Amino acid sequence: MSKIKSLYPSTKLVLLLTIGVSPFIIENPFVGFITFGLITIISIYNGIGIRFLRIIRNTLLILAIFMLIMRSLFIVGDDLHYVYQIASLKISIEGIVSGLYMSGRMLSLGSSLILFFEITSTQDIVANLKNTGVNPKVTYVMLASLQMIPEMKKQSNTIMEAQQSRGIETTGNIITRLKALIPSVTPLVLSSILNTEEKALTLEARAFTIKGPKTSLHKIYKKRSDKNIFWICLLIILILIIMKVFIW
Amino acid sequence: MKKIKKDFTLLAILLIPVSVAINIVGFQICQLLRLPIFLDSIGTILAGAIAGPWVGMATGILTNLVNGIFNPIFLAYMPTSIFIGLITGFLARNNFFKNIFTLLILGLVLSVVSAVSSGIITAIVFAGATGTTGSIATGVLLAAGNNIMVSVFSVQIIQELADKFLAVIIVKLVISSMSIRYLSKMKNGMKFIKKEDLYE
Repeated sequence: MSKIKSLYPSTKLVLLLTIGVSPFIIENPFVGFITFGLITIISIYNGIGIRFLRIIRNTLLILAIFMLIMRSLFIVGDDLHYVYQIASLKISIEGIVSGLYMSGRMLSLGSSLILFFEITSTQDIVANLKNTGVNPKVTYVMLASLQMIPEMKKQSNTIMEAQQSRGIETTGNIITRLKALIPSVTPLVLSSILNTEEKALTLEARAFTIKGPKTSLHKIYKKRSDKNIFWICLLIILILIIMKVFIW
Repeated sequence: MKKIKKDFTLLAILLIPVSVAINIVGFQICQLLRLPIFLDSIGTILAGAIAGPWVGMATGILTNLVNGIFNPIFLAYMPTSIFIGLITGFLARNNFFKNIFTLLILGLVLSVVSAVSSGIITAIVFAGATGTTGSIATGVLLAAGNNIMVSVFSVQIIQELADKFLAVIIVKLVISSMSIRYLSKMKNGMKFIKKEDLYE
């Protein structure tokens, strides 16, 4: 289980997605939570359990709870069986079941994606895409987007401080704060965009736009275990689909 | 297809990651200033305005992908960003940034499209729940007996109006401060250069 980190990126994705997507095929409201538990266990085995759970708490957890509540209270239908009533809000059993299905599936799929990105480095993903034959311009754009975000955050802090020293107020009533928006955003956007001209020259100097094969420093290779895992996952999904059609 | 590929010059390709970063950082600046708007599409609108609809669309898609890495919920809202990039690009081609009146119409169109698109996605994929205060308002409207689509939509349209109007105005200000040298290299840039400035 802890060897999962060293697998090829696309294998990791297929493996995690198989777990994450299976609740969409199986007709049981609790499967989503079971697969979510399974993915959490995998994250613990890979040593990132606490970080993983913290991310889930910040992103998916509130949504899952809300979905359950919204579905229980507000589902529409003809033959609803109400089990509880608070003021004018009625909770129906169909609503609870539907809420369990939706939030379980969302937790399952969402957590599988979150775990994938936590155990796969950007370098590996880009190398994988390159091996699959994706246009290097596309992979560059993805890589550059991720790299530019921290750069721009630093730049925006510098600009905010500079503007504050020139008398721009960032606290106070909403009109004052609104007036601080344009002096904060405009210099950031302008300076970043005008920097791209220099970047364009740098890329051209490294033969970015020339057609032909490109070499890279970071390489990854597929092993036999990767192919085996891929086919096993595909088989599992196929079996689940067949079971859904014929048994359930 | 070839025509679309021609839009992606090297400068356009460089504009995309910068615009994606602007989307993300712009959102954080709004959080810092504690303003009730998002400004998470300002980069998409900018890219669509000066480099055309397809570059704008690519910016939108990439923003959702990058945001989706840290929170997969954003992946579901990709169609909204795609619409914003495409519509801004097509309308900018037709000179919708030229005067304040058409600019406001652009803002209106963008906010309506964004609200409707996000609303439909929230209603279908997440059963109306987004885990924010908007959901509580939606819940109240639903309890009062409204259809789920109407409830989700009404809550989002007010936020979207403020957000998109502001974004469109900021983009216009930014473009009017850009040098002619840079704008002339952009596909749609010529639309923003006044004839008098060309000959000095």
